[in-house]
Amino acid sequence: MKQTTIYITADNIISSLGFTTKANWENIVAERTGVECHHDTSIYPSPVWISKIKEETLTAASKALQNPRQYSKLEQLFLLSIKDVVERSKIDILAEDSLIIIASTKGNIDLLEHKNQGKFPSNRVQLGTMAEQIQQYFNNPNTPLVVCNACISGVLAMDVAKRLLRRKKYKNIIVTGGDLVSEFTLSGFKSFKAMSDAPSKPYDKNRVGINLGEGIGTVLLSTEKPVDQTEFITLEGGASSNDANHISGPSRTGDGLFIAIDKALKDSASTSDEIDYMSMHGTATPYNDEMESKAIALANLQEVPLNSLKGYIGHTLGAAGLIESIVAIQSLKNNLLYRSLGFEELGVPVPINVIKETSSMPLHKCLKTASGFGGCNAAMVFAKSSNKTL
Amino acid sequence: MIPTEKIYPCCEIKAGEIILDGKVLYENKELPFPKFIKGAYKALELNYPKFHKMDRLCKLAFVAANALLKEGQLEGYAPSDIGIVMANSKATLHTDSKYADSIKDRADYFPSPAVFVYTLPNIMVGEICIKYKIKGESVFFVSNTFDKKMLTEYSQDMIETGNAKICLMGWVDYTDTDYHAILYLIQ
Amino acid sequence: MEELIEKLKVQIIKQLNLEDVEPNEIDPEKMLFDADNELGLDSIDALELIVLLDKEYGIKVKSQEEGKSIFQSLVTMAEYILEHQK
Repeated sequence: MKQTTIYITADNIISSLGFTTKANWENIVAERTGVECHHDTSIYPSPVWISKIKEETLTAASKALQNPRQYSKLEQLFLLSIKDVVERSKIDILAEDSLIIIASTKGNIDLLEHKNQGKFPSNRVQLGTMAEQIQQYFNNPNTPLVVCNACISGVLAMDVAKRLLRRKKYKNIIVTGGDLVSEFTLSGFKSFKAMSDAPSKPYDKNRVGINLGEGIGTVLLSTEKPVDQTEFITLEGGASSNDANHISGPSRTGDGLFIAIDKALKDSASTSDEIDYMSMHGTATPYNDEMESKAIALANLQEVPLNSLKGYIGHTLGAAGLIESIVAIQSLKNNLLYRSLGFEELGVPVPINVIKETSSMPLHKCLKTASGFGGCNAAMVFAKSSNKTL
Repeated sequence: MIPTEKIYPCCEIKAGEIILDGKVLYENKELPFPKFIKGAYKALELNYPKFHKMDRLCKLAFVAANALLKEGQLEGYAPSDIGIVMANSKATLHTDSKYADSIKDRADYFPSPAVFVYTLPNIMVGEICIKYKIKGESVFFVSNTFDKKMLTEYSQDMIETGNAKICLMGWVDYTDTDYHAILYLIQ
Repeated sequence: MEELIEKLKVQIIKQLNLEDVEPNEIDPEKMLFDADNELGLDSIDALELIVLLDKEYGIKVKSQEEGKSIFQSLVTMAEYILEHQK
């Protein structure tokens, strides 16, 4: 039986590299990174290499919102990103068959920090209450769903949307993912000795850890074929899995991520040799990247060119899966594979094809993966087609 | 159409009681939560040293899952055919506050990785997966109220579409003043 | 040295939440992170020991790699503390 076709009809990225998908893509193609050393003791006692959205840029952008001061920093970012997608797609967000799904690992966690206490009602730290603020801003009639599933939240939220769209419960679902760089997460990753004191180097021999980043990624997933386009991006399928191995350490064998990739390929009726490109999780911690290389080999995808976006905007946690998928879609649309920034010499035990130079290549189908604390993994397949082929 | 009102095996923990399929399995209404849950752990003879390292939310989820699955109901299923769909309202607020307290004073600044790791609610899912070797699809939702209908339909959909053959579904929430776990086995 | 080892046993039990473990049950010579060590310690415990060294002894350990050689056993840990404590 042919599955319902799910179109990705509009998207937005907000990160240190810009407030639109276009601005981010242009910076990525120019190989510019938003990861910088920050000496700001209000966010961490010692200097940290992170990708942060400038306060003044956000304040200026937020003037486009109604009553921006009523919203926390993260809420403002979510509103701006969703607003851009709603305006670009012209969907009826008031319709009964439209829904918002939010992915976040920690939401308004900065409100719990000592320095921010009392600025907002205490229940705003609850993801459900934060989600209501967003729903009410857009007057959407349905209670938003919130996916809180560590670093796979973004990919998994799209997979949840896929399920609901295939079931014809909704016609349009806005999936948005976002997280901040907060002292809470910075100090936590520091305690895990997982942070790099320089721009991160995914898959490289000298990789030592991650840079945290903040941002939002938003897509509109729709079962309605866009009328004004001749080329289409579709969400073909996806899946999740668990390592059942350790709550913080990645699997030593890669079998968990392999299960997710294998199921995602099946769900999208694809084979491994149809995959032209892979946008990986690639956090640049020693164990994560090693695990990914093993999973890639198990899935017979070792020759497929791949990259990690982490060198450009760091690890944006709940936003990562969405932002990285949107950038992968830009690759599909532009037939352009960007360089995996920070990579010089292969440093994982299984040979994989990490992209060393930004280059053009015809692209039709790509795979996106994510892995996170709690042993969770997710994978998703996107494709490009034209009116002729569909 | 599968009726959503079908009765599924269920374990509920609240107010000092563990109730399995309508019958009281363990009860101790006098004890504060940490002692109550440790008592339940001993009564169920779980013998799982890592239990003591879990935060309160995970202990609650772990005991509920073990009580529900104590007859080996997952045996015979392939690891990747078992799904988990869980939700709560407070995510990991109790442990978040504990962790936030540990970083509020720069003169006494020793963030703990063992506390930080429990500031993600899907760690509950991870702990259950490790114990029962579950490698299938899973998702953790956060919502202000327990939407049993949505979660049941979601689990049923995973089964109907062949993404799982059996699914652990439920709600596990913990705050300083209240706790509630209710898990179902959807098949 | 012996006094320090006894103190470490108590501190480790507390820091790692080792429920039902008595100080005299920890063998100071035994490999702490060995698979057959009944304490069942894992990578998060190793990170917690890094926090313990910082909090109780003011010693900063930079990476998990560095921790591996220090935390081989209680004896190596005590030796490291005696050598590096200010």
